Amino acid sequence: MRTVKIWTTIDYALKKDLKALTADLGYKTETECLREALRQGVQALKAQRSVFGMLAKRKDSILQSAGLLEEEYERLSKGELELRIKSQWRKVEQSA
Amino acid sequence: MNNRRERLPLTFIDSNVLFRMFAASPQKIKQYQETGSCGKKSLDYAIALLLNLERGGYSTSEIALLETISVASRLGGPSKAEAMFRSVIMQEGLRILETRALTYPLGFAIVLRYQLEARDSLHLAVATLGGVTALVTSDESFADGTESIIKQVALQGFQLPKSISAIYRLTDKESTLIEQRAAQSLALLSVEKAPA
Repeated sequence: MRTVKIWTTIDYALKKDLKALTADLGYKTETECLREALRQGVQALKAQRSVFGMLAKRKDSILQSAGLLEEEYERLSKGELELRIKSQWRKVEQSA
Repeated sequence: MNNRRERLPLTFIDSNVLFRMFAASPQKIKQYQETGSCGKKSLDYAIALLLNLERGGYSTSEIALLETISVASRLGGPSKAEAMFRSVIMQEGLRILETRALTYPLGFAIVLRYQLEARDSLHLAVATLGGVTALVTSDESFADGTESIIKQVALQGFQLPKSISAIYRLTDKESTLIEQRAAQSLALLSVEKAPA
């Protein structure tokens, strides 16, 4: 396999960003992440980082909002949630 | 050369289960913690996941999140939906899988090869490219369809239709990459039906 030496061309800030992106996307190494970025298109990965990396993460974020839609869910009959989600894509007979 | 990446467990949470995490009130969560059930199986399942989220290893997709927020917006109004959106984005241990460049070719391939519904094909394509190892959904047809695909791929491998490669102008290398990724990911994927 041909090896392309690119690390020397990456500046410190970009390398730091790549490290964070690697962790965010779950790659084991920065090289793997970079390979994937080159393969999939770096713009898609950058968008992911900018959209989902802007807000500070919290351990109990959803737990803090639990019950937000309790009343709405109580009004749904069994299986209706699945139908409502699917009906956004196609006509579904409201059998619930 | 061994190209296989070691897979850490990554569970994909479908929109229906994600929605239920916001339907479980603090009282119900307390009841679940004290007695093992809040009285509704579908919520018990969502609460168990909710209490485990911070440990990591969970994911959903932008598409699934869009579906969830859309239903929340129509049922509960925009402010509740917006609060839900922010909560999901901020949740630690829950990755949001993006729609990558190869998602659509793979989605079309799944539709053409296995006749899965459009929505389910997109979810499966995102999960496949994102390295998901377990998929949880309360949508029976999605679960059954995915299980059927897993079995077929185990027997016959995964072939990208030539028309897809041509339409998307994929190189041989890209087509092979999709086929390998799909075959490897689907071989490791398991499906769990959540109660509806």
